Amino acid sequence: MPKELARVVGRYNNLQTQVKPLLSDLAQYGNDYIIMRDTVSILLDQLAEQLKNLGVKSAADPKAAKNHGVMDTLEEIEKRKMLLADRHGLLVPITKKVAAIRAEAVKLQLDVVAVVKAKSGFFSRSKSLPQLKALSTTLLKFADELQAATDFG
Amino acid sequence: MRRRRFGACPHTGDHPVPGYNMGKGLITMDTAKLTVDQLKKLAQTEKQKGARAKSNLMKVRKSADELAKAGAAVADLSKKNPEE
Repeated sequence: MPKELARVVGRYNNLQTQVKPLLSDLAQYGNDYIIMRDTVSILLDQLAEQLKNLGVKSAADPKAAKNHGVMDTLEEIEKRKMLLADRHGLLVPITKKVAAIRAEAVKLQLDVVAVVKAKSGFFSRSKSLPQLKALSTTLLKFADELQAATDFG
Repeated sequence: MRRRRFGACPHTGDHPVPGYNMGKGLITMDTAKLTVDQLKKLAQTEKQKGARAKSNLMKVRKSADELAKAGAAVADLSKKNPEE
């Protein structure tokens, strides 16, 4: 049994070394994404206000097409949309790493469950059971939330 | 610096791209076709997408912290009780 616990700890440590850089990449991509989405949102509101003030239905109206303010806002929106599309490519390697780490977290959780089962005999005096059960729960939660965090739809 | 004319090629900034020629009423860009209400709705959607991403990132960071604590507790116990 000590060997099994040591193996779980070793695999957990290995997982942790991969999680930290992944979270850093994810946070960097995510922060840029949030800033760009927020900016697009502000620009769209701004465009709506400009069109309202001009009294036109849309920016396709010839009156709006001649307005520099409207044109500038449209240009800024398009720039952000292009930037978002360009940056989407950066998500591909992150998604691959997420898939690998998730798979390892799920496998490790199954391994932890097996150790818990082996230690859960009627006369068991194992002190590590509550900690192992907590590790199993947090591994699954982490795997689920890691998946959700890469959903930049 | 000379500003790129709206409707010009987004890459080279000179020749116009079909459908980008705003001056002649050939506006085909999605955003330009949207009405005021549609723009406001889209702005709200964009805001929600940003907020959802922010919330998801916070959740995964919190979950990673909890995992680190749970893992450290098991590692600590394994070290203190080698018979485990």
